Amino acid sequence: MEKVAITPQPFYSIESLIDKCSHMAQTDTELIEQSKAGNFSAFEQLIFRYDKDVLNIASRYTRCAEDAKDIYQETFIRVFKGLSKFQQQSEFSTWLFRIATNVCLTYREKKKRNLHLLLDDDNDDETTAVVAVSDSETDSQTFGNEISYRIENALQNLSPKQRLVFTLRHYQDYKLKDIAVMMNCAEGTVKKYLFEATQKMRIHLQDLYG
Amino acid sequence: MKKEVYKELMQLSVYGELNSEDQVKLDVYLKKHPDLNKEYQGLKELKSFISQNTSSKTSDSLLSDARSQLRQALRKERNKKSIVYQIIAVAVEFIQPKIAFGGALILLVGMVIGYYSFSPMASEHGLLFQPAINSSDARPQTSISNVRFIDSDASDGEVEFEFDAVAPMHIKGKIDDPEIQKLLTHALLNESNAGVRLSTVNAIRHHSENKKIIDPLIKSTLIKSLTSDSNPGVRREALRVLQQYDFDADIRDALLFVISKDNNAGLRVAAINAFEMIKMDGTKFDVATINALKQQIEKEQNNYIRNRAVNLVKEIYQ
Repeated sequence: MEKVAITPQPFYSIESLIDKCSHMAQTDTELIEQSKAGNFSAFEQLIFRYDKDVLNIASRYTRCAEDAKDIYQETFIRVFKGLSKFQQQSEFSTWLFRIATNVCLTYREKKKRNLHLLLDDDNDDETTAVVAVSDSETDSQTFGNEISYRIENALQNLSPKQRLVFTLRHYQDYKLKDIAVMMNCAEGTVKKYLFEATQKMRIHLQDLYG
Repeated sequence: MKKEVYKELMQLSVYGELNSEDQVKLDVYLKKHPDLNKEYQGLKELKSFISQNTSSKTSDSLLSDARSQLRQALRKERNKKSIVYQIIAVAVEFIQPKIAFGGALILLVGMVIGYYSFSPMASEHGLLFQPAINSSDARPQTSISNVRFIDSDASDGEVEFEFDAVAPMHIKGKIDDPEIQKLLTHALLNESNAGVRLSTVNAIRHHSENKKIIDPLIKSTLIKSLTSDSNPGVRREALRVLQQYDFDADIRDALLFVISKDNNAGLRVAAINAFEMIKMDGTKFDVATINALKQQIEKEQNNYIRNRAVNLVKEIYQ
């Protein structure tokens, strides 16, 4: 086989290097086009660039591994179904995280509805509902020590939007303006949710750090 | 400005979202208002308290599990789509007979080519892939899974269903063979089992020992594995293999990527070690590389890694 000697290239900024490395094979745009043409491997390659972040957001948001996996799956199924209509007027990641935040926000309601359906059913659902709840509680207890358990509990006392904003800003380190794009709302609204969330967290955790 | 406005500025400041002008205004105001200053310090403490006492991020096993379930769900979605496409194809056939005839002709040509390519006779004449044969019954061991009934009503004497049939294939060849290399790179990037990915890197490593120039496809695959594989063990092996080759811009970029982006401290240390080895070989680093390392020193949270990076930069200057 013919061997090709590689000549060092000029060096630029760290950002461009990181960008170059992370997209060394193909750009998002190229992968999107290939995915639209039916190349499933390209689609997997595309989503696996971002799926860890989506799972992190979902895990922080729900604090339950099973729920996080549900949100993760629902997000990427929606991406799969909607990719053909995605016009690339925004970054793929922006579009993806917008879907992910939507799924997070609607997930709890959907789950509540499902739980009610289970409870209303006449068959052996009492057991099923109890199992569903106790599974979730068991998951929550695996989150580590008492302090982190208290923090997770304080997070669960926030409203869904407050919790999502707090999660995205505090744990995922997204800027407020980026969160506003993801949640499709004004930056001022995001600030409001973050401030409310912080106040509530302070009240819940005051005895631990004050 | 009102007190409430300063409270908002306090929150923004804690999250590093305040511009320098407003930060100065806030600092001046807080000096004059100890009560608010106390609240500001409280907010900072809260942020640092939560950061320090939060359980670690999503585990690799959870991610792997989620990916596996997602693959299954996507496969179902694809099946649904393919049924829709079949319906559309039938509709097109009725609407445009010429196009349908063209399609049928192409299909026929494809079948003929397929027959001559994959028939047993063709296999005897050096086809690359061979089905793995079970010696007891001399038939390929095809596993059947994911059976989906289309019509399970047997009242008319017939049932209809689909299933996935997977036959193991066997291949043996020179590692320099482009086809073998394609399979190895595919396995390294797509195989869900981390052990298999690791074995693939090891195979490449054995092949690459004492070689200084690397095949571009293998190199880009190893770099991709180093920068994106979910398993730190696989990333570590990929780095080890890349270290064997002549240092170039791509390898340098990948090492800098690991130092700045990899969440595994061991790998960041390994990347710094790699730079040290390269330096010992007499390679000179340009200013931009040194600057990139300096930037990382400022960002690095781990004291040990920061010290190692500082020493590396010092050594480069010497």
